[in-house]
Amino acid sequence: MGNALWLFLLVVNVLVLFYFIVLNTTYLVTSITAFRSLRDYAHRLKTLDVGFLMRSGAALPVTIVAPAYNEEATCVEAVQALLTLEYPNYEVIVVNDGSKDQTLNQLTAAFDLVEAPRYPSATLSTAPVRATYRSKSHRNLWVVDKANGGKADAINAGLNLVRSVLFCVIDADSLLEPEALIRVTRPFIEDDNTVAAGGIIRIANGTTVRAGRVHDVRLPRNLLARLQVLEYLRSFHSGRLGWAEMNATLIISGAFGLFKRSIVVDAGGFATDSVGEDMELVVRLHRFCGDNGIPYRIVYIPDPVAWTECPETVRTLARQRDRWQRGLVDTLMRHRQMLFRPRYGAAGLLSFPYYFFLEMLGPVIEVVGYIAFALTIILGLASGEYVLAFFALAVVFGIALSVAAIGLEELSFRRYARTGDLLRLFWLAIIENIGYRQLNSWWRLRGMWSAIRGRTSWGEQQRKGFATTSTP
Amino acid sequence: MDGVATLPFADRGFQLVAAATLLLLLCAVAFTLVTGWLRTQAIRERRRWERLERQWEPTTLAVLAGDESTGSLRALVHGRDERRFVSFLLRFARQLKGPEAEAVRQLAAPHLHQIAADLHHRNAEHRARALQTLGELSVAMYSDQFLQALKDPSTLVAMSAAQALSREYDPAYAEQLLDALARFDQWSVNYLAALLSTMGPESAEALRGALGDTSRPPRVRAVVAATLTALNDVESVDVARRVIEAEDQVDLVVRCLRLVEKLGADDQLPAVRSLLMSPEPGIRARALRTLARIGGSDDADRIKAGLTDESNWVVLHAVRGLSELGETELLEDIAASEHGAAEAARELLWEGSA
Repeated sequence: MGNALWLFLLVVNVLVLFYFIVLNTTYLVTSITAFRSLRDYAHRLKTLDVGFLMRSGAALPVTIVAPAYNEEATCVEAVQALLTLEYPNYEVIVVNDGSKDQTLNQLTAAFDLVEAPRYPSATLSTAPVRATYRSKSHRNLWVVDKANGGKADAINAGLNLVRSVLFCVIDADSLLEPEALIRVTRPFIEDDNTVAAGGIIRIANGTTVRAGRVHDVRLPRNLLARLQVLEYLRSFHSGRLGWAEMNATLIISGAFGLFKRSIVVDAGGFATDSVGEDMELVVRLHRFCGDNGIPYRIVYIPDPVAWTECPETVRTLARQRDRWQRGLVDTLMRHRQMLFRPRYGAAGLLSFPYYFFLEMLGPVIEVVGYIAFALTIILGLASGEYVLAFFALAVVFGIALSVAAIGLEELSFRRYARTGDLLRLFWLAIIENIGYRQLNSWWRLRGMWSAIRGRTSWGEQQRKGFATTSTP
Repeated sequence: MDGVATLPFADRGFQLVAAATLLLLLCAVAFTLVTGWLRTQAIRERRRWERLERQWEPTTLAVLAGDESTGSLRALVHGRDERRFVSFLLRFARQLKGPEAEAVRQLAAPHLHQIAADLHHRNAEHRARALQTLGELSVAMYSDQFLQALKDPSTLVAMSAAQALSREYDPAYAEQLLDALARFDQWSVNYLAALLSTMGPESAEALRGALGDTSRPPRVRAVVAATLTALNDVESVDVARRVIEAEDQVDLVVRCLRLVEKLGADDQLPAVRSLLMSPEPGIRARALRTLARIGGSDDADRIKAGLTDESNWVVLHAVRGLSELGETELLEDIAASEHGAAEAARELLWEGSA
């Protein structure tokens, strides 16, 4: 028994050590790649002639599809922001996915909606559409009212009505920056093979919103929200940018992504039976293009910003992470044939295995690792100094990666202009290692368990609305 | 647990872990310091920039208004601030037109040599940025460098040169730009057409030649067709007809159909009608619209046939085509029926009544 336990702990500890080395090395590599990429992008940004695109008719027509479910608190402000984007040729289609609250009534009153027919350009199967409405005050605004079918179903209903080459998916509670659309279309202008592009999602908690635009960017007061600010910076600046450099992006956030309409329709639209429909679509696009020999590029660009409200309570955050993990497991298991397949390029050989072994199985390894570590100490199987040193290594590695992400932000966009906020970010890089990371692993582990049990519900987030001030 | 050995993490392992921890700690501290330094630099730069702007702006406005001499402004610009001064003037150059813009260019001219030095920078983004700045302030002074940059290994640099040259309204550059177009084979046709059309109608002759030139890639010719459409060049319609008759590349044919739709007449009808049976829905849809635009009531039946097409796009264009032919009663009947095109007809009629 003693030897068996010894062997078990040895295997677990070695496995955890191996996982830890590979995971952090990957983070390090993507951070270094992101550094170069972000620096180049910052230079490249200066060569984008927004004025020419606005004036010349060179901008590609875009339709924004915004699914909304029980968004009465934020939908009017969010749609108002969409209608004031700086883009010469775009439409907005809000899809009310059978909301139980006053979402449709709020929109009808605010934008003077009247029932109007609209012929579909595609025939993706969706829950029944009750009616389509067009705004009398804003001719480029349409609202689709349909029976509840989930977020993916709502996007598909909107997609069926899209007539432009490109369509943009955003959450109805997200706020796009005025130039976000023109910036995110750039990869499509520069390379016809671009099929999808995503921008950065930033956390709106703590900022002030005026007339649908974010002003006065500052860190939120709520600690959980603050921790998520740092987490998002790390995830977007270091993670996604690094993978995008290798054309191996597997996630474009459902809160803000731009897609080529024809290829998404050909690939079957958004999967209505997936909890992580945004990731699932991107992975499917890799697969669809790889299987059909279609040259393609999936891009992440770091400056078109969508602001979104993040959870501020442990309960809602836990639910969100649970859902994300379920989405991840679902997508990776659906497309497991991509694993190590050269046909799918860097996505099949690098990012898919990374997400499969490190992100999907990571929580299991981490939690088992914590238990094994505790047992190792309790049973006196390893010296306390060693365990302490290893724990310190893990924490310091985490801090170094977070600080690098803060550095990347400072090098490029510097959104948190207050020096106090910068110092707080450094402080968060230290304290997130004590409790928050472990909680995250636990929530993700629960998400895996939910995925195994086959749970598909979304859970609901209570929106409190953006902190608004009246227009001056 | 007596008798069970401790796990084999001996001193060496501990030393390794401790060394790695220390190294990472140093990295974290270094990142923090660099970030802090970046912040301090940014604040200092911003303040300096604001101070310089406060210094330059009133004198610049006075010079542009003719109240002060250029010499008084030049006295305010020190050697190390020349690049900033050019960036400062660039803002004016973008907002002003005519003689005032020319005055800004003259103010910038003595300071452009520093920007021109960046044309040889090893970083492509720097070269592109230099071309963009020079392009807005003085293409004429550096025209050779601009033409050379069209062959730069970086497409971004070549594109920046193309943008600057196209804004010169000089037909002499048209041929070089057309030759460079093949390099931008991944760029959006709309974008390239918008770029070429800034050359103005003086370049139309060269463009017509390129549209009919079968040795050029179909994509380049599609861009040219879109440019000629934007320039409203009626003389190119016959070239477009010949392309429609001879070519089958979808984008090229569709772009030529758009040209004919906008500027064509009866002469092109047989060529357009022949495309109604094309296997490509994009071509069928565009041919229907073109027919509605340049055809007559004889073509109504041909357009009606599109109402039962398998492609929703063709149906949509057929409905719009019938509307353009004034077939409102027919559309009302369809809208009131269970016809597959009923929703499209209802949408169109609603638009007309709204």
